[in-house]
Amino acid sequence: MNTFIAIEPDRCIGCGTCLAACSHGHRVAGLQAEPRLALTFTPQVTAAVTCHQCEGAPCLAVCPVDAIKRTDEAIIVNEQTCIGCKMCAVVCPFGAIHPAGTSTAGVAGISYPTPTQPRGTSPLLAWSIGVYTCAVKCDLCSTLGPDEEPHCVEACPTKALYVRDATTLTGIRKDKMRAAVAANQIMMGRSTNLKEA
Amino acid sequence: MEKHMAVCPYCGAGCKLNLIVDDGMVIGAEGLDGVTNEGELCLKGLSGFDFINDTKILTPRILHPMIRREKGGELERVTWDEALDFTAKKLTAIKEKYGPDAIMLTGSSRGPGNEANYVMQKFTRACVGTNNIDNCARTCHGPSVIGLMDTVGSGAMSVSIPNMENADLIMLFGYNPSASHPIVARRIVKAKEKGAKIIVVDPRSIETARIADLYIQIKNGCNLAFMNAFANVIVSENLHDKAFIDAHTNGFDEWWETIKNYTPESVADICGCDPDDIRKAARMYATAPNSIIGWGMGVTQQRQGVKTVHTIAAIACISNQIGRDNAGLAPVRGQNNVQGSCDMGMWPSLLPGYQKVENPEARAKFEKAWGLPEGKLPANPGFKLTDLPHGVKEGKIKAFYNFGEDPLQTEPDSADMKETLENLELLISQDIFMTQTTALADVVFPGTSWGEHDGVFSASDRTFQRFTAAVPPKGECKHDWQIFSELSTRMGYPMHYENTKEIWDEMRSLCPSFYGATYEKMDGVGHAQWPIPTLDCPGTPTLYKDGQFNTADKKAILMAHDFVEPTEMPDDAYPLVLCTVREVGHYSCRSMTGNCKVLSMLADEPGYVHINPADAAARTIKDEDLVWVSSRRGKVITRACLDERINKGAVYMTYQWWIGKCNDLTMHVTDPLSGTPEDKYSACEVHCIDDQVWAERHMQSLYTTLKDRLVAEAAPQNVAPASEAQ
Repeated sequence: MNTFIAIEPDRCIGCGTCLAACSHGHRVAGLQAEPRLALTFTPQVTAAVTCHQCEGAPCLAVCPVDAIKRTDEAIIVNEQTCIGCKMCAVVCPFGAIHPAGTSTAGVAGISYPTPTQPRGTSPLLAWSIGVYTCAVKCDLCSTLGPDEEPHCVEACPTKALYVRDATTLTGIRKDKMRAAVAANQIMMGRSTNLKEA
Repeated sequence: MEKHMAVCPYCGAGCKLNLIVDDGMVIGAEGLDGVTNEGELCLKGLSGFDFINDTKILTPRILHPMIRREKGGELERVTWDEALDFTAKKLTAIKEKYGPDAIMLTGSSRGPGNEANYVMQKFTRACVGTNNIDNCARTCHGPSVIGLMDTVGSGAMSVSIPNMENADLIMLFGYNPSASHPIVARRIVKAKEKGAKIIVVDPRSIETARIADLYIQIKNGCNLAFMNAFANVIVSENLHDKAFIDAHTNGFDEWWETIKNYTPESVADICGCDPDDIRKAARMYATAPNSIIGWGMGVTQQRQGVKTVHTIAAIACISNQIGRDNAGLAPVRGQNNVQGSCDMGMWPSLLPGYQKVENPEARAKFEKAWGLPEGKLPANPGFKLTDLPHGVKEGKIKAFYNFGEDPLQTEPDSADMKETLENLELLISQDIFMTQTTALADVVFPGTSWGEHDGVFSASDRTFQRFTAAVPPKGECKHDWQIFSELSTRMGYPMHYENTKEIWDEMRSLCPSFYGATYEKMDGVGHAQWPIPTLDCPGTPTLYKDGQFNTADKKAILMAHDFVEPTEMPDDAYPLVLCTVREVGHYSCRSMTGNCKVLSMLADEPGYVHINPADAAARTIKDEDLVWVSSRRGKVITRACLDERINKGAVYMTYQWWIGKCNDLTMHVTDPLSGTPEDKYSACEVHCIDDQVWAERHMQSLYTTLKDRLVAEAAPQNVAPASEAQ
């Protein structure tokens, strides 16, 4: 089955340490420094959204230049082959792919960009002068060794992020079924342990 | 590749980490198993190291001493000798002409550490001869320090950060740990998982509100009314601990005379919440076996900050939720060493170790230790940091020695602050970066950065921890304590220290409550939590055990006050409440984090103004649009974030941005009891901008111009003085 990174929203505090670790890890590996997770806030939920490494990955299917490949675990973009057509981003059901590129603005690390459109423009339509983009998505930190955890999972200070693979999912499924049984008891009005807040 | 142990230089959580160094450059950071962080780091700790390498992303480091020979002239690089001679002469002249109280200094609650601050206050008191020394606690937790010293005797957290996770109930009031202290927020998540009840009272539905058992959304600026009603419920419903009140507090009857008028119904309109929610919260708090109240700037940066802290302390006392490991008060400090600045006496009324300047015995002890004649140390409390603007206007303050702070960014009403700094006869700035404040200075002293020196920080929960240098000082940067010593020697009070341990040991010998905190005890990931009066003492995680308060008669003093509404209420011209808050990925004036690759990529100018979607729709503002925010003080450009989690009628801006600078808008009105600005409440309006591409370019050009100006101001340091060039 597919392995992917999932989040426990009640543990997430929205601090963005996962983004920082993702960015640093990929930069050091010579890849785009753009974080591959997106923190998403709704009134009820805070969670980092990222790629599910789908079994029938639509991004892989639509890529016109075969820049997207499947390895044993992850769906990986070859940043050198990618032509920045954004087809993969359009078809991704989770919004987990977007384009990014290296800014050509400024020298000596000082960036002086010249904006060409409002920031609210969709990242699929946005562009910057002289910047060649490629697709970035979670690669489960493919450049790390087999025993190393992905950067975001390792860094999360509240342990809200997990690698979900066949082993962990089996345990979680059992827990969820037990929780469903308990919830059923409550729904039937037979709860003895419902505490008033 | 080598690793050097350090303590994170950002918030007050006190996270131990290793700096990873390769070929003289700091290339990474990794968590160490410290007492508060247990190996975890947040994004600032993890990615906030590369500013040391002088990345010049935001502004360059200062590597050489510079002076402005004439007011308004250009900065010129000079030798250390010349810079120190110049400064000593100027300071001495001002002291002779106007007296020592015309000189004001501020300590640094950031990277320098306790030793540098100790030496600075010694210079201030023993050499300059004034108590005009303060630190940025004035703008943040000053009301907590003062309010807690008034009531329970010690201006600090009564519980420790690790013990927070074992509480039965945590109530957060005006405190957003997820943004301010992610590593403390982690303890709250763990407490919840262990079964603790969580109450959040805040105008914003903060991250912790999502996991709270009870969230009460209040109106901005109602704190004292809410807390008075909360106290009222506890007594009205007979949930207070009468035996504890009789044995361990004074003034209950008088306190009740005020509190009895504040029924939940009477404050419902002021607070904008259901009176029954106040009852529910008070019952949960008072009846849980062990409850902790955490608060932050939402309480202190208000008109009635000190008074609200008085009430919070009283609530903990009357319900006997204090003095146990998992029950007490948790004002978690914002900056890594703001607790330390207070510990070291960077406070106009306190010598190191919270010994009052008015106390003749304390003064005599310091005079003897510092080799001063009897009666030499000044006995009158000095000016507060927020006295600076009017002190300069009235001609009382002529020189300001700024140490590792950027008041032009962090103090309210920047336009007024700029005028203040320009009207000084002498502005000295000792910093690591060319900040907006340093750009105005007549003397620029390059201190060593965190990562280039050793020392001790005090974490928010009174925990002393050591940090060490990872790389050698850059350029001609000198350790801060060396700069103060050399200046003091030139001004007629010789000081000399070989290392920070020598300074620390002198400090310990003068501060009974810190005496047992030796360098040896703090080796590696070791720590020492004050009070730690003897060498055998293991430290004191919990204050006020068995109801023994640090007041004269060991009893807490209950104080109650009537509610007063905020100073500047919204009106037709400025209908929105502006509240300033904190960015999770940046720190303080942003000179450090803004120069870090990852952190500056994740969040950059102009920051955001968070606005409720309904308020945005009424102004035809879309998410991510650039907008103008204006107040009676000024107008800034920033970006709108449409945020359903915040209350209607209020907007929130983080104070880290140099272009989207909320302190151009805030008001210089302070809590009279602490001198803390009312940053959490002023009136403003938000306006849409029709041409967004123009706005984006305009914002970029403002940012570029500012960065270019700071680079230009720092440029003279690249030209060696003539005497050295030969």
